[in-house]
Amino acid sequence: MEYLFHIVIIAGIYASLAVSLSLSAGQAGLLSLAPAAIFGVGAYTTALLASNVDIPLAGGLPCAMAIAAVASIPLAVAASRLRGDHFIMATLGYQVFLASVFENWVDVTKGPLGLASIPRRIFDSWYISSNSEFACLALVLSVLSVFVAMRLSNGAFGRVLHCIRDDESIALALGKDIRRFKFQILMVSGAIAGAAGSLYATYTTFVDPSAFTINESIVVATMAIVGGIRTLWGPVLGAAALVLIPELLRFSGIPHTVAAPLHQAIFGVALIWIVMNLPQGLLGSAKGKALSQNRKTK
Amino acid sequence: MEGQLSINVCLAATHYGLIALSFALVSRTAKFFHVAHCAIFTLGAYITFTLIGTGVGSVASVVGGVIVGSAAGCAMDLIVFQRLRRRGASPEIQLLASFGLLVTLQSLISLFFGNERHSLLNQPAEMGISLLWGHATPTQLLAAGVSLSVAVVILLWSRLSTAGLILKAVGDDPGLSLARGIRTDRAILIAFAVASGAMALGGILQAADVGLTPLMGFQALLVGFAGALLGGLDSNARAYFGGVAIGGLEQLGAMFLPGQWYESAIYLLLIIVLVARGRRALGERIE
Amino acid sequence: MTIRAENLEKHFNGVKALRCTNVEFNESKITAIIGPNGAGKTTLVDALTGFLDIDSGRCFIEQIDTTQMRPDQIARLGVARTFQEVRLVWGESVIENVMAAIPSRGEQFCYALTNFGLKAEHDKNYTKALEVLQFVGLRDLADTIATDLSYGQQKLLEFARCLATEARWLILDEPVSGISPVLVESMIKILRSVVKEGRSIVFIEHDIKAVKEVADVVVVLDEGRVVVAGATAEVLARDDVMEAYVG
Repeated sequence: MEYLFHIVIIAGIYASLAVSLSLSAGQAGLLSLAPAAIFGVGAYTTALLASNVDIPLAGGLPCAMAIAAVASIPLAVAASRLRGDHFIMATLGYQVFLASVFENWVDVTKGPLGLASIPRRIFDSWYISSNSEFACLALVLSVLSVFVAMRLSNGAFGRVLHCIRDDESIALALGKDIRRFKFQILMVSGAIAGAAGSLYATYTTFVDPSAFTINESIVVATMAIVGGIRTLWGPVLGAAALVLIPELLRFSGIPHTVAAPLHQAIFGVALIWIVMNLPQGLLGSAKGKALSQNRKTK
Repeated sequence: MEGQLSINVCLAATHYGLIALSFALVSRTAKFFHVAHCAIFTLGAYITFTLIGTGVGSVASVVGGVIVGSAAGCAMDLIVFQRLRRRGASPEIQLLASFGLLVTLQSLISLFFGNERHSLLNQPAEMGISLLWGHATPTQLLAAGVSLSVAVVILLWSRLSTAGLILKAVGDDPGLSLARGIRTDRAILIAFAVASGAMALGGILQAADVGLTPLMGFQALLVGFAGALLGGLDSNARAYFGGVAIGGLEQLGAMFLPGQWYESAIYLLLIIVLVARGRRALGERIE
Repeated sequence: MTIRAENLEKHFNGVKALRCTNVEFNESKITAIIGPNGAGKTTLVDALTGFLDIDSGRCFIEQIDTTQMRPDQIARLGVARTFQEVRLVWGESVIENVMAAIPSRGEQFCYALTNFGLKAEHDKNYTKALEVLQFVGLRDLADTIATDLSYGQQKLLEFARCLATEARWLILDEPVSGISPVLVESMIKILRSVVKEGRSIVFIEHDIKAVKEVADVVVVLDEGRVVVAGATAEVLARDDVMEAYVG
C-alpha cells in the first residue's frame, strides 16, 4: 500500500511538472527543456532551508516557488529575443548549465554526494511520516497546477498567449506587450516546477544532481507531449502513464540495468511517433510562424 | 607548462572543429538544429568497437564505423525528417523529433553495451611522444591529423564543388532552390551523409583517445554546438573556427578554473552566444 | 494630426527598398498608396508600424517620434493594421479572433488568476465583438473556425479585428485584392462609414477602380520613392501615373 502511495506521489509531482511545461509550451509556444533544472532549484532551495535554517515546508515551499520563478527569468529573456528553435536550444543550454552548477557548487549543494536527511517537517511540529499524507499533498499540487493552468489558458489572458503561440505579429499588431506575457507565463511555470521540487525534496529527504538532468527534462517534455500539450489534463495523464511504465517494467523482473535504458528508449520512440503523427499544431501553426519569423522584422 | 597547454589546445581544437563543422553542415542545409547528430558520434565509436571486438582490423573497423554512421544519418533523414519536411513542419518540430531520435539511440546503445567506459583499442597505455613543447601520444597526433585533413577536405568540397554549392543554396533559401529545379531532398540527404560520416569519425577518434561511453555524443554536442554558434552557423568555415576556438577555450578553462567549473563556463558561453546571436539571426532581428 | 515619414531609407541585401521617402498621411481621410510591385509600399507600412527597422530617417505618429518604437508600442498609440498575407489565429473562431483585439482587464495576470470581475467584462466584450461582426457582415459566422472561412471573409475578419481595437488609424495592406466584387463593394461602403466616424485610413491597393471610388488622397510610390501625392482625381488623371502602372 505504501508502495502504491509512492507511485501516486511521484506521478503527482511529475504531473505538476508536465502541466507547468505545457502551460508555457502548449499555450504560448515556448517549449523549455529546462523544467528539471528549475525543479532542482526548488528542491535544493527547500532542502537548504530545511536543513540549514530549520524552515519547514510551509515556509520552504513559497520560497522555493519564488526562487524558481526568479531562476526562470533568463528563460524569459531568451524567449523575448529568440525564435522557436533557437529558444529551445537556449533552454537546453540553461538546463545543462544549472545541472552543472548543482554538480560543481560543492560548498552549497555538496555536489554528487547530495543533501541528505532533509527533515519532513511541514509546519511547526507537524511531521509527515506516512506516504498517504504525501500522496494527498502531491494530488493537491497537481490539481492546483491544473487550476492555475486553466485560469491562464482561458479568457483574455489565454487568447493573447494563443496569439503569441500562433503568430506573434498579430499580438504585436494588437498592441499586446508580448514580453510581459512571456515573462509571466515562464515565471508561473517556474513557480509550479519549484513547488514540485519542494515537495520532492521533502518526500525523498535526499536531493542530488542526478534527479535534475536533461534526461528528466526530456521525460517531462515527453509526458506533456504524449498526454496532449494543449489540453489541461492531458499532461497529467501523460505523467501518470509514463511513471507507470518503469514501475511495470520493474515488476516484470527485468533487471534495472536493462529497465532504465529500455524505458528511456520507449520514451524516445513515443516522442518521435507523436511528433510525426500529430497534426501540425503541436507548438503553434507552422504557417503563422513562417509568416511571423521569415519576414524581415524588427 | 604553457607548451603542454598549447599541445592540448591544438588537439582539442582540431577535434571540436570537426564536430562543429559537421554539425553546421547538416543543420544549415536541413535548416533545423539536428541534435540527434551527436548520437552518430556515439554510434560510430560503438560500431568500430564492435567490429574490432569481432576481429576485424583497425582500419577496416574505422571505415565500417564511418560508413554505418553515415548510413544511420541518412536513415534518419529518409525516415523522419523528409516526411516532416513534406508536411511543412516547423524547425521546432524537427528539433523535437531529433531529440526523440537522440534519446532512443542513446538508450539503445546503453542497453546493448552498458554504461561503463570501454576502451577502443585494448592496448597498453601509450607513451607520450616528446614534442618540442610537451607530450602527445601517437594516437592523439594521428587523430588530430586525420581530423584536420578530413575537415579541410570537407571545407574545400563545400566551397568548390558543385554539390557543395548546391548544399549552400538549399541552406540559404530552400524555396528558391526548389523553384530553380534543385532537388532539395537529395541535397539535404547528401548533407546528412557527409556530416554524419564526419561525426562518426570524430567519435571514433575520441574513443581511440579516451574510450567510449553512451553519453559521449551528448557532451560533444554541447561543446560542438557552442562552437558552431560562436563561429556562426551561416558559414561552414566560420563554424569550424568557432569549434576550434571553443576547443581552445575548454582547455584554457580546464587549466585555470577550479574543479569542473570549466564545463559550466562553456554552457554559459553557449547560452550567451545564442542569445547574442539571436538578434542577428540570418541578418534579421527578431521581435 | 498626421502620420509622417521623413527621409526614410531602407535596403535589403543591397537593393534599395525605400529611398529618401517622405510622406504624410492626414487624419479623417482615406489615403491610398499605389505603385508597381516592389515599389516599397509594404516596406513603408512595415516601417511606419514598427515591424521593420529602417537604415535612416524618422517616423512620426501625431508628433511622437516612433522610429525606435516596437510594433506593440506603436499599436497602443492608436494604430491598427492588416497584413498582405492574411494573419489570423487559425484554430480559433471568428469571434475569438475579434475578442483578442478588445482590450481587457483579463489580460492582466492577477485578474486572470483570480477571475475577479471577469465574467461581466467577458459578456460586455462578447457583445461588442458581435457588434463589430454585425457591422462588417460576419455576425452569422461568429462561431466558425477561421480556417473554414473563404479568403474574402478572412480578409474581412482581419479588418473587423482592426475595428475592434478602436484605433484611430487603420492601415490596411491590400484590403480588397483577391476578393469577390460583391465583397469589394461591401468593403468600400464600410471604409467610407468608418472614416465618417472620425477614423483615418491608409491602404495599399492595386485595384485602381476601388482606389478611385473611395480614396480622398493618393500617394504613388515607385522604386522606393514618392513619385506624386495629391487628390485622387488629379493624381489618377496624370499620364505618367497610368504609365507607371500599366507600363
